[in-house]
Amino acid sequence: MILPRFIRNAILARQRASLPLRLSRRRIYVLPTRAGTVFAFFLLAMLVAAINYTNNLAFLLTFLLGSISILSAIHAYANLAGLEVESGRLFPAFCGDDARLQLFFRAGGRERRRISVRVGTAEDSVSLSAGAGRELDLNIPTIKRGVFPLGRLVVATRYPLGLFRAWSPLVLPVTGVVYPRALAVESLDRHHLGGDGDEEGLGAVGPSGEFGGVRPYRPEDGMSRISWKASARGAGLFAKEFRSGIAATLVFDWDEVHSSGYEERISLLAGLVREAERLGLCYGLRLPGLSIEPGSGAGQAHRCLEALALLPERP
Amino acid sequence: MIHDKRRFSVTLLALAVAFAPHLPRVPGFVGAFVCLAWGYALGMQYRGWPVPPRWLRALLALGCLALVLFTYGRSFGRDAGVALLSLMLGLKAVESKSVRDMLALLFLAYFVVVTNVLYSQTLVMSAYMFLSVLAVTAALVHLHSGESRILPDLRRGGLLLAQSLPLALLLFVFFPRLQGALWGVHDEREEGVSGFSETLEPGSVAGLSLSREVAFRVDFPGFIPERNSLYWRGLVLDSFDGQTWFRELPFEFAQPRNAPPPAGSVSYTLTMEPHNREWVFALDLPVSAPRGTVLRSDQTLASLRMVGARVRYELVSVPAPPLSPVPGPQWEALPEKGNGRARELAARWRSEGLGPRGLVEAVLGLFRDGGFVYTLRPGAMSVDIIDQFLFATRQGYCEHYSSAMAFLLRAAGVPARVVVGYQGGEQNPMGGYLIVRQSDAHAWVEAWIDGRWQRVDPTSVVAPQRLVTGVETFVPQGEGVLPPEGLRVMRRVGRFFQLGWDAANNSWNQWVLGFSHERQRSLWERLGVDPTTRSGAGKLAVILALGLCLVLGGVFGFMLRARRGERDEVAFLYRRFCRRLARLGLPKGPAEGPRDYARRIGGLRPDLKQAVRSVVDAYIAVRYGVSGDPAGFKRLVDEFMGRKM
Repeated sequence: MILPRFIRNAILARQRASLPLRLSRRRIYVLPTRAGTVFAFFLLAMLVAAINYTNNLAFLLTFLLGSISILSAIHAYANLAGLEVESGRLFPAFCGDDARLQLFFRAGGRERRRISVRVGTAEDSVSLSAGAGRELDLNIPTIKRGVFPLGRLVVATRYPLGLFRAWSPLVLPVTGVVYPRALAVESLDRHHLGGDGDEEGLGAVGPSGEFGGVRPYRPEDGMSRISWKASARGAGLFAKEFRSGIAATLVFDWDEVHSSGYEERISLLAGLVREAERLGLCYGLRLPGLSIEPGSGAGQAHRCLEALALLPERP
Repeated sequence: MIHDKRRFSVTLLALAVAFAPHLPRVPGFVGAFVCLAWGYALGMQYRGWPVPPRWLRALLALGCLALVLFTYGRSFGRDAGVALLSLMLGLKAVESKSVRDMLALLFLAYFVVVTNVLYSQTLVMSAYMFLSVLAVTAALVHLHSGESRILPDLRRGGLLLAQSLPLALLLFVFFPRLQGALWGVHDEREEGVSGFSETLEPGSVAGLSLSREVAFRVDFPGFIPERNSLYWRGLVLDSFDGQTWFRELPFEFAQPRNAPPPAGSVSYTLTMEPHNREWVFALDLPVSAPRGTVLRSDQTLASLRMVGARVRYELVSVPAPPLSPVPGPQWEALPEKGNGRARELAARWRSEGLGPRGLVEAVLGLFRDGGFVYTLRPGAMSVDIIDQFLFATRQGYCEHYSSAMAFLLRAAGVPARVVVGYQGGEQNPMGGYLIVRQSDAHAWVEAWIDGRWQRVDPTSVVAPQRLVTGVETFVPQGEGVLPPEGLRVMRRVGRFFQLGWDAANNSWNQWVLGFSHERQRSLWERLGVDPTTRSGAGKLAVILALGLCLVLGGVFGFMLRARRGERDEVAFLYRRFCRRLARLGLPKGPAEGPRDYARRIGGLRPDLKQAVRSVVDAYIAVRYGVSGDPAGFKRLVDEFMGRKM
């Protein structure tokens, strides 16, 4: 159904929310589910039977069931109302992989049962006891590199009876980055790189270089660099340091990689960055109009991959 | 998957609770099929038994349908519907996989609960109905909660049920009631609910003497008349064929008196249990006919329809019979032959010149002094039963005495008739009403004396106790194992519970089951609202709307209140401690931690330094340390509060 633009905008404006957020009656909608509609027909049949047999106990039971179903709408609403969405974070992912959405919910004063959160096709549910907070991870499929706006997130519940569904559509200010699809690069050999034989540092780079001891861990080192053995002594985390005999500083240059097309070139560069990071090398990136100085660690990888992700769609 | 198994078993359990009362009612094959199907469904969940193929399920469904049609034939009513519903429950359970299937099963379970009500509406059954609604609701909650435990879901189901009760009651009271059914209801109630029959022969009343079943209950707004004057007239019998008294003359309808009820009249409310006949019992002589009944010329009431459900009548009666026209010869008629000695006796009395009154006295005298015994087991009699009774056995029950007396009076030329009904009744002190049971069934005589039909009860001379204490005195008692004293106490306790139970049942019948169109109308009248007028209907709508708002608002507020966390004893004590210091002019700064606070106070009030220090150290140990001692902290705070400063 295609709505006029101004209506869509109005709806979007209503659903837009900033974090942290507390679900209030302005954002919560309650309607009967399909099962609820079926149940209404059941109730009608019971009522007709009660009238026909003039059976007061049947009347009483019918009204009791009717009241239960009406009140279950209030229960569903109360299950959602006052729920707090404290933060939301969308982690970067390579295109084609699932991006991890991390939401943090807080129950507020009441317990919450089975609150389902859905973004597109990804769905999961969470239950909270009163006053508790909990993280919920959703894996959201990605199809395109670039800035990834989260889109509409629906927080809903059918608790307690499934006859009513209370839901709240939210457009949160959460955006992420989808890295380009990364080509698998078996080894960093000349084949992928332009420039024949310049000793920018390729040559024989082993998978890890030579182990050169440990130093205190820095966040940008990444998980793979942690020396668990050294860290196990309890004096903080330590990272392994590699002292490769070969100057392991690579600069991946846009103009120098062999590739057939625009997107393929981006993918190849992304693959190279991923591989270099996996090997713990020091690398940089040179793109048209942008140059990233060599470095290493998760931060460097993110800088490089983000730059690739944000390249314009057309050359 | 383990979750689904659990959910399935909970669903099935709720279903079983709802279905249990039907088990003895449905035909054997239906019950067996349902149990087998459920067992197999459980096996599918837990043992991985294969799902029956589609063709087999279709075959089973068709087979079930055919069996039901075969069993019930063309009378497709309540019973057949329930049998079919049960079979569906079995089949559906076998093919249930998804949450949606289980949802459908639970909806069916609700339906089963409602069909139970069409069979039985007793208090026990009603309580069980509420229990099964709770079970099904809890199962529904369990289906949607994602919890592995069942207890929180049971609690939530109970909460929903409890919150629904006021709303349901509101709807129950306000929902407009119709008179009669929407379409014809085939009455499947079994015929011949116990109660006496339309004829009187030896043994017909005595057979009821052991039945404790309630015939009707009576509520007197004022005082309850003496027990021995409570004669509930049901039916007047006019003809005798040598063995049986019965009704032959057509009933004539009397004009209800429009005059205000005469002095000495008694008004009362009578709630009659269904008996599937048209008779309506009333105390002595009813003055007017309540809705749905007619007053007959012999001063008995009859319902226009068979009394197939519990009915409530508002009645007014007078004890004294009115003047009535001279009865026709049929009121003196007797069979041509038989019972010769009784006839002789009557003729002799008559030749002695006794008038009607004298004759009545003579008969009563005979019963009193002639060695007659009042017994429930008079022994069988075949021919000339009046003669046998009067001159041979001299043992009989009220039907023998009244039959013989009416015979003698008629033989002596006095118009006489036999009345059957009930006599007496047990007063329930817990409800302030009277219970009349089948065992109170009675028969007596009315003779036409001085222009009126006057009551003569021969039992009153033979067994005066019968009229005061009821028939139980005459029921033979078995040999007890308990000593008599213990037995008496036991019986008194049993009686207490029995009466309390009857009072509860009576209230239930009166207020819930008996809430009819008429009672709804009278409730509106009492509220001063006439729903037939526009303004009255508006008022009613306003009352209903207010009630709904109140109930829904209450639930809304209750559900949205934030539940306070468990009280934090340590934080509470620390706040107390800080308040105490604030009263001394040393308030804690908003961002001041305990240690800084203690240091500052130590500087300002050296006298308190040590005490404050120890409290704060204990607080820090309890709150942030691993080896805190809450009890010690409490002691320190208490000491500090008790200090003179």
